[in-house]
Amino acid sequence: MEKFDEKDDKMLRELFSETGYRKAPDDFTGRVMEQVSELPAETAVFRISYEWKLFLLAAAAVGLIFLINAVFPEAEGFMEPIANSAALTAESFKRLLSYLPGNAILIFAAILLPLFFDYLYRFFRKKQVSIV
Amino acid sequence: MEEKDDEYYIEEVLNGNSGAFRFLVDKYKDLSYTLAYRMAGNREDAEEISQDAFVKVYRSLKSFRGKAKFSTWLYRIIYNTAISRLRVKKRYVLTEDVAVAKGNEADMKDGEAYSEKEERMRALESALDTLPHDEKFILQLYYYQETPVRELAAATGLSESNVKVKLFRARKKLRESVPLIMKRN
Repeated sequence: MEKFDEKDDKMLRELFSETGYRKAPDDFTGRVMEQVSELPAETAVFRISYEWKLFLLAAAAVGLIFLINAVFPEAEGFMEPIANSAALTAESFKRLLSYLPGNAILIFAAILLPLFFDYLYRFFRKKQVSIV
Repeated sequence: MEEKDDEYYIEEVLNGNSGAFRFLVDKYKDLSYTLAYRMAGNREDAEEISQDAFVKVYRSLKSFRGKAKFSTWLYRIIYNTAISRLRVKKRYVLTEDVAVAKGNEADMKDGEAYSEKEERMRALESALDTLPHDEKFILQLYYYQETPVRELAAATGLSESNVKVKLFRARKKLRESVPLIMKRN
């Protein structure tokens, strides 16, 4: 392909630089912000923070573990029903503690997995800079 | 004061602090308005296009994945908004050069230096008006923002090779108009 002359390129660049931008009206930002504030609530941008998202994910994972325990009442070991106890009695608490090492692994994984996927997401997001 | 990057303000808005959007508007309003102005050819349309574009950006900010730069995404929205609006109004070509001259009292300030600059700007805009919209758009981002071809392609939805061809063609055409621009001054 034919190459554009460097001198001409420089001249055009200077021309654009000299003329600069047109100035937006003084109240431009105010008007935009006014329109934005009038947006109905359902379209307003809202997102829970990253930390809360992680916390909720981990909490959901812990809840899932308890649910598994409840669904498999006959299971042994750390899968034994700890959520089955109607009330958290001293005995059920002891049982809960005794199964903690097994559950802890799952809880730990539940916290680490979102972090790991988040890391992967951020890593690949940085790689793809040109896609809109 | 330390200037934070776009991502910081985007995160703030997404976390519920809608006031942070003001910083993004302030940062990009002049270039957005300029691009819209040169697409539409008059102040009223330019204001509406650029304001609409910012509102669209706000509404769809949560879908912005950060795969491209925020500015590239914004330019694409401005471009699409302008094209849609012009299509509706069927005003692809600016014929009212007078509108450019008279419709911008608000932009003008007193002083000879400024009027000379304004004159130069109008001359440049007249030259830009002879270009098709996509070439005009590409050329401005290229010279104002030094936007790389890859991002120009993302902003316009054209292929990189197509952008290169259009950029070359537009620069050549504008280069031919430059002596006229100088002469007018």
